[in-house]
Amino acid sequence: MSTNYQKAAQNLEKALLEDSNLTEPQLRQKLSEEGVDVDRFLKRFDATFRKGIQAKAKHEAVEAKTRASAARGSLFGRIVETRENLLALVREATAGRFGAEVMARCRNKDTNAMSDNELRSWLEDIEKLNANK
Amino acid sequence: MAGKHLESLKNNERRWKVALELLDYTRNYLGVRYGWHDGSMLPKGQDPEEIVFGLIDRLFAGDGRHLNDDEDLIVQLKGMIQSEVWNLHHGSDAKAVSFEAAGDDGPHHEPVCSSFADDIVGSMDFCQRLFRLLEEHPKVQADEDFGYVVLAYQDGADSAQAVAEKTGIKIERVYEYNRQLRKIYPSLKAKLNQ
Repeated sequence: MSTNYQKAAQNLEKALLEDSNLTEPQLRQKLSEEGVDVDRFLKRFDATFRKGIQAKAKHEAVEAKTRASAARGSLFGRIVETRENLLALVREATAGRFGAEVMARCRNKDTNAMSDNELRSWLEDIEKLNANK
Repeated sequence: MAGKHLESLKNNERRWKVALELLDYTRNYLGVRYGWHDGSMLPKGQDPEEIVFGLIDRLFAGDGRHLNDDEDLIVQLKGMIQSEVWNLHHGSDAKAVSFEAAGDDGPHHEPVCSSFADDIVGSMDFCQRLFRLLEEHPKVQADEDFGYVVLAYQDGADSAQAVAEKTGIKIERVYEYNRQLRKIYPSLKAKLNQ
């Protein structure tokens, strides 16, 4: 018999690592027999998992706050709902209240041709560009 | 870590099963591939439990480890454990230290924990001598069925199921022999590397 010992060793290692479909009680017993303090391990695993969940929730809260802050804007303040107020913001921007760059962006814009949503979206875009500088 | 796998792990029973499977796999993998055993030290003073906790931390931090909701959780986690272990043994300050006689084969046969395995099992000659040592091992010599199991692997079996089919030995017993092999194997591999 011509044996490929390398292949055989690979197969053996694969088999030794394969899932033997042990149930949780069987895993507990096996690991305990090998000297693992299973209860201590699971307690620490739970703590690590909880810490991760908390850190993730905290991270998501910070991100949500950042997004809300970006949406609210630091340049124009809260971009208000009514067209009258939106146009008032554009007039102030065109007059230079928010700086030369914003003034330049507003100068040649025909705001009368824009819907409320377009106007709001355009102002939000200016906000975002300003925030990213 | 996000999505359905994270949600599934919020269930205590599920989480504990996954945790135990992961620890068992980490211990087996370190033993079979790197000759680790209880009492031998891993690089950076790590141990299997720390490797598992480190992986969970990384998953939550999104530190280069991400789970795909469409793939099996355990399969993904085992792959990540392999990667963590590889990184541990191949990092800049990775240096394995062995101490304390604790091998299954008694004094002077302690498994030493070293990175000899890498991702290959060794040369043809190395593997042939490895099987020779397995065949000559007292536990294998003392049990005819155990000898058949070792022969089945040499004859191309690549799983407990395949060994059971080749030898006619019940699969539960093959798993038991595999557990014994997991204890013997690292020490023989280490012996050949001395």
